Amino acid sequence: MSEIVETQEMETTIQGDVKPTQSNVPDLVKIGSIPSNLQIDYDTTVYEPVTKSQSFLRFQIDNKGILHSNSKLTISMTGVTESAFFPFGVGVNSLIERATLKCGGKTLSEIDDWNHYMAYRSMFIAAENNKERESITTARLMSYQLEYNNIKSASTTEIPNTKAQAIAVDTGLYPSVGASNTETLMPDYLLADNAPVFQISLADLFPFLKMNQIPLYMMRDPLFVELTLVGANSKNRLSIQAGETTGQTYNVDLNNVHMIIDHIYYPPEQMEAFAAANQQITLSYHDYNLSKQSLVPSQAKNNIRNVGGAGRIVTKVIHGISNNANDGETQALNNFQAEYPNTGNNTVELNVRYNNSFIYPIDVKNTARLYNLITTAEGMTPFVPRDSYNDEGNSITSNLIYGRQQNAQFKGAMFYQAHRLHKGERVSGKGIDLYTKYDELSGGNYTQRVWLEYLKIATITNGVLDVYNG
Amino acid sequence: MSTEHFEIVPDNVQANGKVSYDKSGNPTIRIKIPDVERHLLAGTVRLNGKFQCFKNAAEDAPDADTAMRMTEAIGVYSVIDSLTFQNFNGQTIEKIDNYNKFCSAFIPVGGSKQDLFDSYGTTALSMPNFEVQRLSVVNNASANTFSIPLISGLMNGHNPIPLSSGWGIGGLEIIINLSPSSNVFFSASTTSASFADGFYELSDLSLTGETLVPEPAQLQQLQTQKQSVIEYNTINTFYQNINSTNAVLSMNLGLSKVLSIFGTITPTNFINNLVENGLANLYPLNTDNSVAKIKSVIWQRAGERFPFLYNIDTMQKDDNAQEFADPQIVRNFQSAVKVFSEMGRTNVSPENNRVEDNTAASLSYKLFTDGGSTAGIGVSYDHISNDGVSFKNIPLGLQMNLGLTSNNPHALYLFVHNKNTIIIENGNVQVIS
Repeated sequence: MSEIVETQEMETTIQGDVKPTQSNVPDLVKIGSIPSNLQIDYDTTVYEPVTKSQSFLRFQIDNKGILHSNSKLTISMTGVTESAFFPFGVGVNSLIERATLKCGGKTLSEIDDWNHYMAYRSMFIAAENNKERESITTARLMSYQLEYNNIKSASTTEIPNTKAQAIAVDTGLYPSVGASNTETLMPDYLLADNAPVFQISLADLFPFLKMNQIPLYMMRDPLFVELTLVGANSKNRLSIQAGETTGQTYNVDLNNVHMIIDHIYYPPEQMEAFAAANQQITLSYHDYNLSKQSLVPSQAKNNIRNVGGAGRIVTKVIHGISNNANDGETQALNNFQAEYPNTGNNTVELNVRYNNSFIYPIDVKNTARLYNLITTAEGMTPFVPRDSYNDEGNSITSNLIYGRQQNAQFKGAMFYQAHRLHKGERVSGKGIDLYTKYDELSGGNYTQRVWLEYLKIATITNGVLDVYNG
Repeated sequence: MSTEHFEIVPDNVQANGKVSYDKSGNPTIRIKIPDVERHLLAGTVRLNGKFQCFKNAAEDAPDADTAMRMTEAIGVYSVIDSLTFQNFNGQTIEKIDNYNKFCSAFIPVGGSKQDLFDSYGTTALSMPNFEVQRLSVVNNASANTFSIPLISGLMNGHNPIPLSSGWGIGGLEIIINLSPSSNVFFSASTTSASFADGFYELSDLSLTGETLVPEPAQLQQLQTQKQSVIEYNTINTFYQNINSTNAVLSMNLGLSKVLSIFGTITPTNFINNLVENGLANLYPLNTDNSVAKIKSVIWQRAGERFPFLYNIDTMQKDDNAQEFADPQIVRNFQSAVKVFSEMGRTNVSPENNRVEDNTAASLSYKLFTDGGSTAGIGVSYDHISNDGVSFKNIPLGLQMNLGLTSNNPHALYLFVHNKNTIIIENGNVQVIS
């Protein structure tokens, strides 16, 4: 009987060296590394929640194929009788307070106050895309247009000119000029009383999926998507038109919530080869840890606090201060805002300190520079006008948007900040200190939310998932 | 490898920290990034400060009745007349004259209308409409904060710049010459009486950015290297005059790797004129303000047509009544600023690139919406070799046939995008263009 000898294929390099041929098994979980000539098959499965209530949804995803990161959650409201709509900046994402991805009792990814986090993340969608794509898919609508003056000629006929005194939110409908005011309305498909269905991408819920795909077929335990919803009575689910009754209960249509998952399949031998060649898979990715604090304006004038991060590899700090006013629904952005100081000196100073030194040699006071620091941290610019970011210029119109003055709704309401931690080293046991001086916010109670982007590592060993901090 | 933020204030500002061409008598800002054992991350460099406008010497803010305007598409970039980068030995690495004119061509081509609201709006105080920019920036009684990248070949490059005098360029000095207020502001009407002594003022200026700190082993390697070569892009400015129906220009650029050339045209009597916009990019005008339509453009190298082996004949050659800009002219201009096929966002549109008389019966150039007029000419050589075309000892030729029948001289600002090389050898720096 002949003995089976394991052989290894060799190749000759152009320098004449002989070496083993590189594995031709592509990394199926790394986006972009798969050659395009593979035969790919998709299986779309619509999952109903295994647990559902007005405060919580849980989906169980089957262990088959590879999870497509752009799979979608679809969701809608029911029984809304007021003229209500999802907040302009964050859209349908307002509904979800916490998003958790679990497997085998381990938490792969979890973001608290996910809806507020998405208010920040939504700034990076180009205004054109918000108007033309996101208003249909996620109800996000932040886009501006010029509001041209209508002038009257001697014959009192209104004629248009090219002068625009202000900018106004672009809903796709041009403002209607009434006898006493000019008002921008919203398309009917955005009004919650028409029960439109919107979607949320899985890769938005769990940002690490933008760079990774989960090989479900290689995992022993099922994957759970758990979504904690904002309370139906919280006044944070929807915003309402001026004059509508406040304090209503807004329910999610639990019979119309679906998780639509695309399972990706490659040729079986390819998937088997990948599984055999990768008994252990390691995914390194970023997750976001929330630290929040209640503040009153006098505290916000000089606030130094430890925001965590001790012992972790933290790559980014994202923060903003939002008003806790319980009338969120009367705001076009609801409470998903980051306030710029709107009284006192209208100034801000901030810095970040970790591992015994400050990031910035001098506290940053220039708000346009803070805008640039977001660009540096994220690698792209936020699509937010000056008046909406640092409350300068009074360029937003005082005309109405669905019954409310636009400048009162959007001025200084997207003053988020982000800092890239630049030392390339683990944060020491003392953690990260955030120094902020808001001089000063108008009266009320506020919450400062800080998300730390930190490194996490997940391993899948013989189908068993393990997760730890990087 | 880690990075460190820096914040540097100018060397030469007065005690009150305010800078103004007209008021302080100090039209130059000099900032030195020190000679340290680090690399400068050029993409992170920002000039920060506050910008405020006054309608008279008494420092009153413009009001609703003040007809004071500035170029809305470029905002605070209007105040920079020239930008120079040099090392501490005074060797010029890049110098862009008529910088505000360059920005008035570059920004609308590379940024969209929404960008003028958002990113350029927040950082550079631009807006896509003249009136809302006037009301929100010029008339703003409080100072406007700005934080701008110094758009240039050197700063837009991706390669870190070695600052060390031992193994790099030996420090970087940035010299900004400010523009006179008479070339920043212009009238929204036909008179400048309401702001005859108007001026602008910059304050709280600083330069911020990040440097890359090499690891000890890497630093040792850098310190022992005998020679290093850095390739970077530059913008070089050339100025010419046009005042005939057949403009024939010949220039020795002295540049060996020219990637593209683009130019903008302004009547010379608009420059430093408080009534007209000296930074407007227009199609030529006759003295009666009728548009002097361009009929053909010919680009030449060494007396031969190049890269187009034909005349670019415009629609106006066959149909003089045509008021749409010629698509070949527009496309080549855009492509010279940013490779056309890679242009994801632009603000050039039929609304603001119009072959239009400057008269009340038509639409005055001051009333163009979407950021104002974006006319220009250009040619890209980058498509040909990816490494530029040499005009070292070979003249550039440009011929334009146009309807400029009256005596109305026009300034043609040509911006040449070139690839330069710095050779660093034993601490000596040699710039090769």
